[in-house]
Amino acid sequence: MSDKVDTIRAMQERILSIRDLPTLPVVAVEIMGLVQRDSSSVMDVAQVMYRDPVLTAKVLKLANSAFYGLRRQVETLNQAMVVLGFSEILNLVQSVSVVQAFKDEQFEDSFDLNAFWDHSVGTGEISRALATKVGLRFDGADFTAGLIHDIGKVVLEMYFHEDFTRALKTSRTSETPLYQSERKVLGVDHTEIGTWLAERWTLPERLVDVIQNHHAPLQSSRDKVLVAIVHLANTLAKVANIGFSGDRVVFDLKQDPAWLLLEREAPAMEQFDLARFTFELDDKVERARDFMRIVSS
Amino acid sequence: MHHLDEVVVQARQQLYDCSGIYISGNQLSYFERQILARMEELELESGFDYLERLSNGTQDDEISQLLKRVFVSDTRFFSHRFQINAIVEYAIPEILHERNLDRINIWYHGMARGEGLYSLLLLLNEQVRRITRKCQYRIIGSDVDSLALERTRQAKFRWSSLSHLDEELRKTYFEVVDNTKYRFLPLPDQELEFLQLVPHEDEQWQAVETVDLIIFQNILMYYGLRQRQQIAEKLYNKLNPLGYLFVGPTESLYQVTDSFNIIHFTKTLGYKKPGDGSQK
Repeated sequence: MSDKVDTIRAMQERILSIRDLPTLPVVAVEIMGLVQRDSSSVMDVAQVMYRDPVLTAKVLKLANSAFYGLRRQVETLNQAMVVLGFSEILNLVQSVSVVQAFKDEQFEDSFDLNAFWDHSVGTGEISRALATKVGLRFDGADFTAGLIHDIGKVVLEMYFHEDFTRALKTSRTSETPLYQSERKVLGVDHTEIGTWLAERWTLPERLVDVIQNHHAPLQSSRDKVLVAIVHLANTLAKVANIGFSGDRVVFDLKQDPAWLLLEREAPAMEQFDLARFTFELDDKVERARDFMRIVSS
Repeated sequence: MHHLDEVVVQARQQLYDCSGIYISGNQLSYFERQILARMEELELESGFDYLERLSNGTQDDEISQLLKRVFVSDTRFFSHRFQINAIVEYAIPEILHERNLDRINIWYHGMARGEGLYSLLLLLNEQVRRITRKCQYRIIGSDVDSLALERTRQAKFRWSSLSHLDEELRKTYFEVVDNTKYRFLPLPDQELEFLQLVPHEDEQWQAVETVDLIIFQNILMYYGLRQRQQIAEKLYNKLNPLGYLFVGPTESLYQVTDSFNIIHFTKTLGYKKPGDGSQK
């Protein structure tokens, strides 16, 4: 155990000694801080957010896009918060900010950032749809958690490109999950590095929890059900072949402990039509791509 | 929502409720054209009148009419590429491995013109060439229609059915006959038999032995829920434990049976009989 802690610490030091980590927009950090204070109001958050016109414009554009499919045009942040809800907007801010944080980074050709985001945003959208179908509500945290669950992979690619590429190759040739190959090659995996980054960014605990436990939802000590949703959505995103190639895809979802957890915890699980949900995956992916088009524009 | 969009969405839902067939997003504009064509045939001006006809119990044949329009027979090889890949790359190797077999029995029902069946035979042979493990395949092809069976038995195809295949595949698996047709050549290690079968007639099922894999694409959709349930139960009983059932790529067995485990593959799914063969 202490070897493991040492390895993670050594990697963190190595990361920080190479170059600065990407940062979240100042406004996003400030908003997350405000939200944690009980005394903050919707107006307080809106006022801070208006200081970042790019972020504000993207959030409004998303609120009016097919991603939400609202019937009425939303023109101000206050309106958006009323129509979509405060939590949904907050999650949108977090999602946009994380994608923006890596926008200007340079990556080797072997790492396809577009495919990475395609898979991530697909997982986000499938998480959101799955939660709704089984009767659970997370006010947008399902989408954000799905979007950022693999964020540690980007850090591994940025700072440990050669080792990470070797782990990817090993995973493909030996048909083992990538996180296991990462542990073999690097000593740590993307969930551990992602958790560290999310904590440095002071992301909410439930998002950190998903990043940390999305491969083993029952290990979560915070919100097992949300982690289970993202875990299953991640699997379904692989089934839909979204931004993901080469790996063996054979899953019996109903034997997955995350599925069994939802059977106990999700109110509408008994009526859930898994086959139909699978057939609808391509449509969900298209909606998710709308999100990415707006955020990356 | 635009009037026609709403009609299409509702018709899609009705079709799914009645047949288990899901019209996916990329098929929607084609689906819309088929609805408009049916409305013209029936001289209906309003889409909502058409919806009423679709939902009217005494005219339930309209569901079948629409299905027939939407699901025209496959006339090209590998039209269900993801499903056939899942069968050959994953399901069959898994059955061979889990049950330690060197012979596998497959039942393929619904011939149409035969492209689906021969796509499977072709890929199975390619798989045998790739792996060292030797395996014999016994395949029963069945259909309601004796003409479809005869056409499939002849295994002659038009250029348009296989024009998209690699030249090497065409040369290896086909010979030109009658100047304009391409005949699929018999393959080693593959024993092929044909059988006429009407799924809702119980006594005909006795002619089918127990198999390891069943392909039963877009057949159940023409039956009501009760008959679909009965046929699904018979399919379950005709499968060996750990065997697979593949229905149409967007055909669901929701509320029809929960005896199988749903197994997901890349962009498709299959239904697997549990190992102990018990009803879940």
